[in-house]
Amino acid sequence: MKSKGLLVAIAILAIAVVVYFAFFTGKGEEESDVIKIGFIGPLTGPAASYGINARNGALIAVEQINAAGGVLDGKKLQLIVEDDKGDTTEATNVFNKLVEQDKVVAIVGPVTTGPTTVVARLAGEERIPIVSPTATGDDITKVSDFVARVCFYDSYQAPVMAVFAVEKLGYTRAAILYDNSNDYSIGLANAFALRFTELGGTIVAKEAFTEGDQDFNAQLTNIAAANPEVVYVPAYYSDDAQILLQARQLGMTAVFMGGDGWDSDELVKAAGSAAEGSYFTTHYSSSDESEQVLEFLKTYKQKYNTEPNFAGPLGYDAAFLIANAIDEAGSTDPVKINKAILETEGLVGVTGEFSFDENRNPLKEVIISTVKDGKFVLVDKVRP
Amino acid sequence: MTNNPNKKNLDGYVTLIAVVVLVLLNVVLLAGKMPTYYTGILRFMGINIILAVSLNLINGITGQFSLGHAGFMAVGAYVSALVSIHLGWPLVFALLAGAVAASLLGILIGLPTLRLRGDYLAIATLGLGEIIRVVILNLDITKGARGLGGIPRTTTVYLVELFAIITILFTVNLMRSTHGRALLSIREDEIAAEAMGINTTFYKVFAFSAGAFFAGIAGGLFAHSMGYIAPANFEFMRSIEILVMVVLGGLGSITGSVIATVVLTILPEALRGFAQYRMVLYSAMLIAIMLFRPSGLMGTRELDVRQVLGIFKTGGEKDAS
Amino acid sequence: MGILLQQIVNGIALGSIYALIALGYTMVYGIIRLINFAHGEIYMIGAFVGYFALTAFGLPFWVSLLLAMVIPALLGVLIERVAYRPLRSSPSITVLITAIGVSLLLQNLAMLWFSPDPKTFPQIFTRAPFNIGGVRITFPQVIVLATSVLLMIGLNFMVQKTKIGKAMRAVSQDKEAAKLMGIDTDRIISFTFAIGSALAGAAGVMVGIIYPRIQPLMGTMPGLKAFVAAVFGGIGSIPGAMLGGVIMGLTESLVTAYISSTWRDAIAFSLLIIILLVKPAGILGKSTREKV
Repeated sequence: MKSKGLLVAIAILAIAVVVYFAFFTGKGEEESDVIKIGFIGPLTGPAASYGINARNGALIAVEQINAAGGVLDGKKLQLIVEDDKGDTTEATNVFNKLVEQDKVVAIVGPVTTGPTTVVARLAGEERIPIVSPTATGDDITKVSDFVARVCFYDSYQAPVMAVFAVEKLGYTRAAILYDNSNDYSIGLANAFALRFTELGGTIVAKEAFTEGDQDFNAQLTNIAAANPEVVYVPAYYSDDAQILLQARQLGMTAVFMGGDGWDSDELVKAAGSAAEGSYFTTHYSSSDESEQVLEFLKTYKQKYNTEPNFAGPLGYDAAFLIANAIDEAGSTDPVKINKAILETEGLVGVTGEFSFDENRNPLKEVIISTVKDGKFVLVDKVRP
Repeated sequence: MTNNPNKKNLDGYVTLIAVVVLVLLNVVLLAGKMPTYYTGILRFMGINIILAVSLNLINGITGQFSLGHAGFMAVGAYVSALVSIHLGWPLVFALLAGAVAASLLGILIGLPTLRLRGDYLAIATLGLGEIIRVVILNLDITKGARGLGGIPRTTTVYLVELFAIITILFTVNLMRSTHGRALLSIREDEIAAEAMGINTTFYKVFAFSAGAFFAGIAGGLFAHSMGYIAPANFEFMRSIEILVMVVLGGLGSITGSVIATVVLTILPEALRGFAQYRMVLYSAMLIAIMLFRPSGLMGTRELDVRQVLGIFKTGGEKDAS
Repeated sequence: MGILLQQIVNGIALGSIYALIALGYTMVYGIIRLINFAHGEIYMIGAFVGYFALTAFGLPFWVSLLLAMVIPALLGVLIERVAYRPLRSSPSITVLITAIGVSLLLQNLAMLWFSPDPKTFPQIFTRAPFNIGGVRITFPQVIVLATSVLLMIGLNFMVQKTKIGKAMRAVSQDKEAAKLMGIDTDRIISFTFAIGSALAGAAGVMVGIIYPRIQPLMGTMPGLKAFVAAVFGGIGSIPGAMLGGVIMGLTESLVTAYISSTWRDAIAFSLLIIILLVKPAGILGKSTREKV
């Protein structure tokens, strides 16, 4: 007889679900002193580090804009943050929720490629602009007309490094070590290889690893045997640090290079002297001392008691770009905001000066940094 | 379930409940009242129901401990997506192609591995799931880690419902047939079943391939619902999620699987307000439920409409009319 | 040849860590037939305890290692008490799901407490390699290997020669009979969890030494692979877990070097399935005939 109680409970639950779905569909609509923008990114799960950094950056942007008087003559921005766990299913649910229940006018995010690809399509259908802080795949912005990004795309920054390696440093033998389970890494690796060989260089070894790997000795031993002058490692800083350390332990002396995934103080902290003399492409250099960069880094540190990784400033710029577009459009109509995003010209954010190409990719300077005495030092600025 | 004292209870009531709930839902859907957020969740819920019920067929009813369900789902998803993209097959045929591929793989893999038992089988199937994922990660046609996009988004809530009902009906009817009793006998005592002249290998492979078939359907529905799939969708944790639904509902209980799936699909959404704490609460609740109901929400029983109505009757006559 | 030897050295260092984790799996499985999915997370906690002991409290290495074994041991006992013991008489799959729940809980708590950003394990030993016949061996590799071997010898001694070890073997052979002989099985099971978790905690610190990067999700994959290693060697068998761990490490290293790292996991798992089919109880496991 005990089970009857449970059965009643389940029946009530089932009915409650149906009723809830049917009638309580979030009709509450308040007056519009506040303009809502959404944030989609992984706050839990394997990519949480990037999601949380991007969110923190976006929150700082919204706070600063509100403190400076908001947008559209005094209206406040509100960032509604939703977790997608880096999962396409959750991202879909969250996008629908933000658009229907929260009535956001634009969205910062998603952070990772899979969710961005899926949400980009939905954004095109619902005509809500999204600006991804960090999704770098070449094709992502071609999915629909309502998706833009503030980061470099793969075949934007990798060729810059290839040109630098061949023309400035005079290298002809390169090896590549990339993360085969990560599209960012694959994209950069391919783009680098293409440009490097076009310029007459040879890729002497191409080795891969898988997300979460700790041991790169096997790959590095193979790469060392091919005797390259330079090793291109397009991966995230925590992997890069491991790779650098293990490479030096194996006695490799080749120069290491990478992309914006390298840009974190943790890299130098973790790799120490093993990182010396490496080069990477990135968005800004702290040795560049632009007011906005320093201000951002200071605020971030004060607020979150830690240094941001590359996703932090990009999250900031994505929110900043949307806020600017709302002002430019003079409206909260998502279609007008989208148009204003594309027409952005010379907007100066933390990660550079923005304008957009016809595929809604940012055209901004690529910074080449090197590691010298444990610090990142600006080497060159390139506009591809 | 050996003596099957609840056999009568099974009759028709599972279906009846499904029909009542679905009719209610569809009324709401047709009235156009339901926002996409909810229809989206319903769609994923339906896909999860197919996965949970089909895994229950392998794990709960036949007693073969499988941890590779996401692998079969992946095969269904990729095959159906590829025939949609490259050959332009209509959705239902694409789904069937994916399901048949998954099912054939189930037979191919099942024949040797099903010699293993218990935890060893679990590990072997876990390995198979991972092998499938690595193969997808490395093939050119699947586009590896970059994911396969541009899949026509043709899955509708109604289609998911339809396949969920077909899966449930197939499993319930199977359980009530001679074949189903053969499957149950394997779960209860494989050696005794063999001694009774049941071809255990045949039935195990049969359960495996049937489970894989429906997992393939679910994969196809998922692919055509998302429009984009990547190996990350079919990681080992996905298999675990499905297993959790089955065990939480009660091994061998079809209604249990359905209820647990509904609960576990809504739970993470309902916990959204807790942001970063969401997954902590989710896992804590999972542990709590297992501690308080060790044999799952439903045990091996089925939810019975007559019993539910009976309670309302004792509670007050007016409800029963 | 030099390269082959180098890869073998790399593989053995990696394998000794798998072996330490695999021991915990195999001991727990041997005694209560539970695949303790939370074991990989215990290893992660061990790494973090070591990290904080070394950085925040500035303790010496051996003290930190000890702490990184004691705290996970207590945690292991606590988990067993709260989440597994009430389910002692339930089907094993129920406990398995609870274990998965515990694993998810620890992961997500660690994300909240330690933040999901990877942390860099402090450098305690010089990383400068020394050369032996063209093979580069680093000091951390030697430390890890030595510590692992010492721990395994100690464990073997305890299980084979001491009274509590005898009791552990008795409980794993026949719980009921052991109880009738006056063995406090609950206490023995707690003890087994403590030892297994301590070894996993030690493995966490070892990983920190060789691969100085730790983060809350670091336990999942090594946990899975260590479990596979345990099955490989014959689950329930202590020498089997050691052998399985080393074979796993070697396979990974050699496959990465000579075939491709991207196929590594697929090949490791294929090998596992083949071994299971040929020798279902693993390399060193005893195959038991089911009684009719």
